[in-house]
Amino acid sequence: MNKLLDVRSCQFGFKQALLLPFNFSLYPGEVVALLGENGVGKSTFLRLCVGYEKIISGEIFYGKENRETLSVKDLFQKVSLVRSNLSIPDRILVRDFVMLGMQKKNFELLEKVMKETNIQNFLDRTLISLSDGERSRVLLAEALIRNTSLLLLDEPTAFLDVPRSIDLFKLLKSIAVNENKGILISTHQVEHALKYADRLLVFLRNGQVVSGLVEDVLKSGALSWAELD
Amino acid sequence: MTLYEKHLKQMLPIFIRMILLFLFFLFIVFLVLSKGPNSFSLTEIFKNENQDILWNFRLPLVVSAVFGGMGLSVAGLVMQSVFKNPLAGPFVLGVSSGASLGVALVGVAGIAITSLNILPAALIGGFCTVFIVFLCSRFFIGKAGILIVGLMIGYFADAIVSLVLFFGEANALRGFITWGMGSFSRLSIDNVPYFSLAILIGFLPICFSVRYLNLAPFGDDFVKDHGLSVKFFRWLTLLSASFLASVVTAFCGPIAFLGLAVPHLAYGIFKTTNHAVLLPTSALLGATLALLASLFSYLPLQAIMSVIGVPVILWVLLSSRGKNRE
Repeated sequence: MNKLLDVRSCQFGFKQALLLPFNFSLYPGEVVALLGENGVGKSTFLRLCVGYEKIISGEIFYGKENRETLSVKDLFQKVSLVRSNLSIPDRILVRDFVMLGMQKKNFELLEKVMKETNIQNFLDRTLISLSDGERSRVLLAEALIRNTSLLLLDEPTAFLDVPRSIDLFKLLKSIAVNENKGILISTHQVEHALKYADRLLVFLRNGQVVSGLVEDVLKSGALSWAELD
Repeated sequence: MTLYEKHLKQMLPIFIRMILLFLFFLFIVFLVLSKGPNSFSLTEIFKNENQDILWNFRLPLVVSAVFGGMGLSVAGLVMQSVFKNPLAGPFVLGVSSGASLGVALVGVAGIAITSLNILPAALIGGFCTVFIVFLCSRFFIGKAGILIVGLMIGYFADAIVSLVLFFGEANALRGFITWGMGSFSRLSIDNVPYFSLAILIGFLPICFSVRYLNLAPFGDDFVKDHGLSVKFFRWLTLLSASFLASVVTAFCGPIAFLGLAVPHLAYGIFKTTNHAVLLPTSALLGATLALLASLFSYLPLQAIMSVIGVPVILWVLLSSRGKNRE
């Protein structure tokens, strides 16, 4: 199967590498959860994948194309990042916000995404007036309208309660399967990740990176920091 | 109903309001053309005996107010979006003061204060101010920092202007003070093409940056996520905005209020943050407000501007605030 994202013995960081070199691939139709304690480099890795930060060693490929040969504009066609910490201006309407992701007018896609994320009912409200659960779906909708096969989410469950974050995981899973997208999601909701993600990618304090199927990662003891029951 | 039809339906009130606004604008244009020290009725505008007044006085006044109003409003809108700050504007950020400083220096150097003479000086003054404000803005977090820097630079430029004028000759002083009061009736018929062309040139890059302006309020990262070069568009739009503000300042004198207020008025009326709507409507609203003010061209412009504008803006701001809370 073709890889949407292919990280090859990659190291990244600001002055020194945050983690040991590691390999990771993301395939169409799967949801991978990125786990780890605060400050181990989850957000930095997601930023790295959308073109920020520099690679210290190794390579990242999108399909067959190397990250270093792609421009900001090319990356926009390949990968979208949902930022849950986005600073939101007071007045922006949901309708106007969702349209930001659209480069060419494509109302079929817009209609489909709005149904998928179930945001039709508050298009005329301001983004800032929504509840956290509603807002997370709008942020997701805007990224889906960018229509990339690779979707990254940076802690989308940060402000969500348990039912809302389970809903979000289910929604992401159905999107991944139906649209053949590869989804990488960083989260601290470890238990939901174990239940709903296809695979895990775990960054550890000691710089090691563990990835694999949920059972394998659990057996390896890489989640001991999460103090699961 | 498909989503596309819904979209069109949502656009309908915007179109209707745009058309109404445009009709109102046209009405005011004709009103300004016909009223003044030598008033004639709307139907007499094209009579022969009125042509002299029409071409030499009223037309330059209309052009000056329309393009001046447009230029300042669009500059204000762009600055508010790029600096992510609802209080930004050519006056608040010190661009007008920077331009004034340039003009004062020209006056003191013994060059007559005519629009074309002072244009380069105003441009340089305006550009320098935006540059300094922008450089300083990177060291501040939060919305107040940039306003403080803008106001400080404005005060500094004004202080230098006072000092320069203190040592200047009486003639230069008089020229500067008349210019400094701001007026749309200073434009002569010879300068009409230069002024309108300069404003249109300033608009062009901004028209191509609509997508950037829509994304900019969310921050630089969000712009980059959407495949646009932050640096390129930020400088393109900021330079165009300060170009517009400086050109208007050179031809009409420093004019406060329009640049700050009109974008809020446009938002209040059209209830959208989409710059594809906000840019043309801010331009039209700015032109209309400036024309309204120029109906009283024998009174000080600043005072008229505020007397007409402030109640309107307050009403719009307060009413839209209530709706957001629902």
